[in-house]
Amino acid sequence: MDVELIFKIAAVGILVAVLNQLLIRSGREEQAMMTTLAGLVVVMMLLLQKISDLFLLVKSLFAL
Amino acid sequence: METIVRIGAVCVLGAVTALYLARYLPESGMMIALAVCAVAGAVLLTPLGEILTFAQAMAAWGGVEESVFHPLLKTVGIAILSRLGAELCRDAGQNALAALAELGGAVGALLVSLPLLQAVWELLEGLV
Repeated sequence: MDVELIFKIAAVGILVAVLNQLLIRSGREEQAMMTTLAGLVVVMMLLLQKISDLFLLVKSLFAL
Repeated sequence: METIVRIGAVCVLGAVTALYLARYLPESGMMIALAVCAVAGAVLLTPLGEILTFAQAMAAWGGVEESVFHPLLKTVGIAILSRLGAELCRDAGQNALAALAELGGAVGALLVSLPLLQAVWELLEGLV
């Protein structure tokens, strides 16, 4: 059970949230939005591989 | 037994983290839910595989042909996937997408059990 993935995503989420607040407070809303987008892309890249593994596992298990 | 405890713990941990992060970043709540689904799902499927192989052995011993048992197996897989997808969509607040996912699951299950229905139909026609 590799829980590292969840902690990695939580870490990226916290980092992006802090950066977001920092940028918004200093008046750079567009860069804050860019940072959020970048964080989203990074997390999606991490996740997509895992989700496809899960679907392949279910497919092979149930002979779908 | 220990796997179940671990899965429960990871799910609760993911929920708390998602709740906390969602306040600052709404998307991250959904991301963590997806991550926990992927991790816990992968772990849960191995014992499920053992149950399925036992059920297959029972079916073979009981004389149930493979062609009858396979749709049952596929329907279980389709049900799991469509349920998971629908609930994730509902978490994100998209009820319409959740309904679509459930519809997809229903259509998939029906499609898989089509040969079975045809077999029953031919049986009935033979009787009449």
